[in-house]
Amino acid sequence: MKSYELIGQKLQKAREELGMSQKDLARRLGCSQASLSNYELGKRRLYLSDLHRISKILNKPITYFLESPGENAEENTRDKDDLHNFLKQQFMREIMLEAKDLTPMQRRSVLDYIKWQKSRLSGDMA
Amino acid sequence: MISFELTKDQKALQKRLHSIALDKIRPYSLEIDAGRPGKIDKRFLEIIAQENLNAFIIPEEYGGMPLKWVTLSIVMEELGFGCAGFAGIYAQTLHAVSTILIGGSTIQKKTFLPLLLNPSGAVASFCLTEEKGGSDVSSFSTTAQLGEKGYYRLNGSKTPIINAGDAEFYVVWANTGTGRKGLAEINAFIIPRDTPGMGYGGLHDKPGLRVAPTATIFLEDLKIPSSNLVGPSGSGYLLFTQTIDRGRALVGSICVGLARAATELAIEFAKERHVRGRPIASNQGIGFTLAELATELEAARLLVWKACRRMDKHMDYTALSSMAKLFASELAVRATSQGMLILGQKGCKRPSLMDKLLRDAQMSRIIEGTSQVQKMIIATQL
Repeated sequence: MKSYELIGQKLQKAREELGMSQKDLARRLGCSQASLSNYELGKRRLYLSDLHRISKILNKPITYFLESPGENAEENTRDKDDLHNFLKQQFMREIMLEAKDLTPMQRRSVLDYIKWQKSRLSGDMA
Repeated sequence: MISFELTKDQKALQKRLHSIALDKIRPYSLEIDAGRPGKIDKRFLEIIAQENLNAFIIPEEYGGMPLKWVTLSIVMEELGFGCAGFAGIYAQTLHAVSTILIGGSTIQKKTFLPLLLNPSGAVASFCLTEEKGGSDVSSFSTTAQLGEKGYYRLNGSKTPIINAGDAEFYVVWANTGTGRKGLAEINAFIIPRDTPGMGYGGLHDKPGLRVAPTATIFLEDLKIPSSNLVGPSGSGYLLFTQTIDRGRALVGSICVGLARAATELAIEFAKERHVRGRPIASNQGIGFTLAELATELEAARLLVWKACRRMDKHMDYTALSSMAKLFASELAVRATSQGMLILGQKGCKRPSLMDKLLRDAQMSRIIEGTSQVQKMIIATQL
């Protein structure tokens, strides 16, 4: 994988982990959503000052975006195990059972609500 | 609205540098080119000092003047017109400075940048490439291990390095880890001249850009404080790409100057040389070639200016910078090849300016990434 594609993928992953949309991050960076999308696709090169700001917003060290994919393999496996255990918890089962009868649009609303809650936690709405 | 006209100040600067290129740089460079490889000629260092050339690349607050990339491209074109090798020495200093400007601390800027305004003339060096992997940072074998009390120890070698042995300071890239974390372990360090542990190999003999001395630098247990690390730890890859992205457009300027020198020489010769009572320029075969070169020269310069204008405006410039370098360096090769054909046997007799331009042009296609590398970069941006 080309270097800037790797950096872009890491950027997308870190952004999604915080439940932040491209639009929100682009606004905070002062760039267009199209530019941010190009960063994430590796079609536009991120300069040091940009990545420095991104690392602060997304709360990751600069090295996170530059590490080889192999270096995170163990972390990825751990992430998957954590997710599996999380989904087995009782309240998650309840949420899934309740959501089962919802229409796709209602499910979308639930997802949007969760993302809104997360963005409040990350201070994005401040 | 984009203006294609230079300002009054830019025109005056262009005129001044053109005279220096023609009257000083070119005569010296033909002489140096014909000799054995040596250190930077003292007369070149004097030109750098007398004309205060380094002030164009150092911001005002550190003793220079407001940094404008379009203005710098005018400087580079004229220096390239005089001698691409001389311009290469200057570009090397620019790269080292550029890295510090992008990621360096205020203390680093205050400490190292004024050294280049030395009244005796000074240069810096940008030490990236290695024997085995070239400029592929992922395969760097030069290491920097963090040791006792905040000091790094550097080991390895860098080659080919312009200004090796002549520089006030060196910006050196090294791997600070075990290689497992890839690009996150690449870092840049500033190494002052005469730091114990730094050595230089013999000067390289090369076909073109002969006036720009090139050698290998060796780092043997070289101890440097961590305060000489440029930028946050792990930022070396980003520093390198941004520095080179900027530099490519300016190498494009040098190539425009080189191509212009060849085209002007060919036009002058074609107008003076008469065959069967007519100047050879009036023959369509020659006139059309000169017309094509003059057209492409304008196009190449505009590409360079556009890339530099985007740098001045803090806009994305990666693709345009590579396009400018690709187009201008290929044009330099075409202009000098066609120039050689037009001059015929006159161009082959050494010392010959066209012969030097031809050899310099071939090298210009290689430095800062070959034409294939430029195409790869442009393709990723499409």
